[in-house]
Amino acid sequence: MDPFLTILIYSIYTSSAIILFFLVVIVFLRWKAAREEREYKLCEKEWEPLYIDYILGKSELDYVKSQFLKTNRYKFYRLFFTPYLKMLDGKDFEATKALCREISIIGHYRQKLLKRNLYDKATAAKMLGDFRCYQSIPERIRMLKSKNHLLILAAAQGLAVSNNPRAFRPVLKALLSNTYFTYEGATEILSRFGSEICPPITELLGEYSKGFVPAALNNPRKKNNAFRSLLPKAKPATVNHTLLVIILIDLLGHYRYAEALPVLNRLLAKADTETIVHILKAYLRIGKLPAEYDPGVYLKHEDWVIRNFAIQTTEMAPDKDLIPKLDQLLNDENWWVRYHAARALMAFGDAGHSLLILRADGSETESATIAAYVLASKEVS
Amino acid sequence: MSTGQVFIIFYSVFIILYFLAINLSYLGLVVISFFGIKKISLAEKIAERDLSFKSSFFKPLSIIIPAFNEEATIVETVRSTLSLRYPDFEVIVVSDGSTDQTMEVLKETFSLTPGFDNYRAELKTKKLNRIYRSAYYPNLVVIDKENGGKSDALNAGINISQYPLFCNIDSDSLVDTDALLKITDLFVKDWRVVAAGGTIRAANGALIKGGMVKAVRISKKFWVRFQIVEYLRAFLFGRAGWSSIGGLLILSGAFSVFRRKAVIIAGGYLTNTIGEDMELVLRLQRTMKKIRRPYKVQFLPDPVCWTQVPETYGGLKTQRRRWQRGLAESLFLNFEMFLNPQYGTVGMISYPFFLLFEFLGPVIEISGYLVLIYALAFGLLNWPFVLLFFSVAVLLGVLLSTAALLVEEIFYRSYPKLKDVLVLFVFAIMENFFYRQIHSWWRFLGLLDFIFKRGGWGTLSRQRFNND
Amino acid sequence: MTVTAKTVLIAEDEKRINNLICARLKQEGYLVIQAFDGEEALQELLQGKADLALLNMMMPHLDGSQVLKRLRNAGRELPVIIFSVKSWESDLRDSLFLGAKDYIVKPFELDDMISRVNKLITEQ
Repeated sequence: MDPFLTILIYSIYTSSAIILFFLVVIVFLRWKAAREEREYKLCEKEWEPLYIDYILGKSELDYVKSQFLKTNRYKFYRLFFTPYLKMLDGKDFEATKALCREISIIGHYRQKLLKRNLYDKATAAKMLGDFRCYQSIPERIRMLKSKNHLLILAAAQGLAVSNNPRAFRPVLKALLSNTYFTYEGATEILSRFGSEICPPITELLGEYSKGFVPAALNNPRKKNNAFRSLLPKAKPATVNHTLLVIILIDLLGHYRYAEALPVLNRLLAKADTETIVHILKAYLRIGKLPAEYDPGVYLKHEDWVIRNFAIQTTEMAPDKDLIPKLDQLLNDENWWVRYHAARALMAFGDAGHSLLILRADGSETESATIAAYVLASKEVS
Repeated sequence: MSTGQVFIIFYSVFIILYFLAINLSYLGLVVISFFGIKKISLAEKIAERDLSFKSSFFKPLSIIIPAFNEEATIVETVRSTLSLRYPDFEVIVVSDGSTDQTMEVLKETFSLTPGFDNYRAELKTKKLNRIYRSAYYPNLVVIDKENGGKSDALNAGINISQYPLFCNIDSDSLVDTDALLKITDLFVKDWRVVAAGGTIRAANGALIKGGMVKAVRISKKFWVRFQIVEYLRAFLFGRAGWSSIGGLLILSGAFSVFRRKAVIIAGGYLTNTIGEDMELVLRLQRTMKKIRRPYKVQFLPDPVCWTQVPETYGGLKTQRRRWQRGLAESLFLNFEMFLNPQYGTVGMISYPFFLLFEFLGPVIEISGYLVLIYALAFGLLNWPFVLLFFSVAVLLGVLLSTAALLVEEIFYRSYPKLKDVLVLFVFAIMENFFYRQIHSWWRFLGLLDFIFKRGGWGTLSRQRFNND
Repeated sequence: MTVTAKTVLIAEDEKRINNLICARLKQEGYLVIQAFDGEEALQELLQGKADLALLNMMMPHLDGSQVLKRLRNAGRELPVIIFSVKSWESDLRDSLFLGAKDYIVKPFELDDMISRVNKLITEQ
């Protein structure tokens, strides 16, 4: 027979077979999923009261552990415990972690970490992070050097919550040099390290603020370069000092580390636009202002974002002398600046409030509009 | 043999080779996307979504809603947008010269007060009449402007937006609660990403309450069921596949997020094309290449945007004609990407693929049928061969469609009722028997539209979006 | 003098967390109403049986801040503690501004939650 016809006929047979196979697989997967769901629900029903009693102190760890082990359904452990691990803290978290340790979940993931399979390693790293496990650190630090982006991420996230400040530098280095993370992405992960990283960061920034000569930072002959070990051999376009510095500033702000204020103010004096924004944001988060800080120059800055944040800092230390400056800003070209200026005036007590009322009836349309708007919003809420 | 007959035979062979090429490519895409989706699933398991939400380190987003005469639905749309799960965002409604009560209804519901905004019009648009802010929601902005079409409205929204990312949500679409967070996460984790999109699914038949899809069900409507299968295939294989090899050419306008600065550098949306969303993504990539900025366009299959798809023959036909024309316009406005190694995978593989298979596809398919029938009639080919060939063609198509259902089942399982999945399976088979052929015909018409209506772009007065 | 048991409403969409909090509250002697989404919570609260509410901010259908707003608009003055995932203080300040008396940041400790609940109940 014509070879073409034979090929066609075989193709038809194969295709039909594959299609039928797909159908069978789909139905099978459905059935399997339904069965697992049922199984899980049964487990959950048994486990939940046990766990609650344990957390509430009504049962002992040994008893609960044996009950869990009796059911012998370790594949559901992760599904069961994850919400609790995420929601609870302190004593309750530690109790949950202890239970997990006793029923060997943590050990299981520590083992999995050593496997070669990408999926295994990544989920293990993540779970160890969920458990806030402070072991298997070296292995996870090694994962940071991997070429696989996912592994780096999983390791970094897990290390960040491991309560081990020593992992901070490797994670920072990995995020900045081996990934394409934006500063938000990197800072978000780094912010999970905990406030113990604040003192060393402040120290680093302190040195940076004193010797702010960008070229010299890269100078290999400079001995006391605190940043030298941090500045990785980076992909050129992604890392520059500003990126590194603003990440560190953001972290200080995140932890409201008031001791960093003097250093931040020193940095402020010589900072570029992007850095200024972050320093001001940090002040807002810390909730206090450095003694020598003067918002004046920033209220007049050409970048509206800076003006915006500068206005918000005035709310923290309402100084009567600033009222005329805020008044001017009611006519700013940017809506958000006008808005925050008006809101700030509300924080200035009677003097500010009455000024707003005055402006609301005034002749200048922009300030009138925004004053009226803010006064109205205050009533609405 | 006459030259005519020789031609027929050669053309038939060409058709067969074309067919082989297209199917092998699709099969390749299927395999690639399977592994791509697997990797994405893993990434999703690892992602710490709750902590991302908790952190103060995310990228704020501007959501632009262009509206033309939507008095009946605009309030609901805005309300459901304002309640999206996202840490910090602004909603910019652009009324594109609405002649009905759209503005009044908005003013009343949201306590709008007019403001003056001196903003830098980085993109050229038609005149803006007034900009309003809401007393209840300082993050809601409403722009009243002269009619200029959807692209113009979007550009106006981009001008006003103040955040680094923006996205356009159509007024008849519903975005899943966590969907935006998942998409913008891409921008946070990779500074190269300039555009990213998610999956579109048919909302017809799903239970929608309070602006959210509460129960996923498939529609009972005939034409909708085909589209469900079609979308699954297009997104799970098409987009996912291309995305994983870095060759994503287009994103769906209904659900895509862009980096504002990049779009402004590229010049914003074009107002004289029907496929403005596709065209933007193409031009964005060209621009980034020109300014030598490393870039990425990504797709995530998991975040879903639900939209109402056409339920009638007429509606669907109009829509697909429009899409084909839009595709053609987008391709030809960016023709320099064709086989241009400068544009990497997109230029060397995706663009030619789209040109050859998606754009020319209908022409070759329709002419193929005609030629084969003619060849049969005149005894140039024996009919067992043709019949078998046709069967193989159909079966390969069915294979692709059912494979999409399988991948859906493995990774997402969005349709809880097994019965629904079985119905879809039947439609996946039927899809290749006549839906595909009709679809090719519609696309062929769209192609003709493109060729013959090219002069008639201009500015259409009182343009409506979503005609279908 | 017998003290009537106070009722606390817990609005949290994560079922098992809801159950855990409920159990802890019961252990402390409170009566508990459980709600698993915003709408349910609002309905129960408007009926007036609860003396205090624990509201999760991010909930389906109606999120915590909406519930709070509507509650205050309806004139219900019962004390509310919100569970917040966000830790940035200014957002929390806004929530307090909305009418919550206290906030608990997730992840949290059950004993800490109980002490806050006790404090607000006795203040009443």
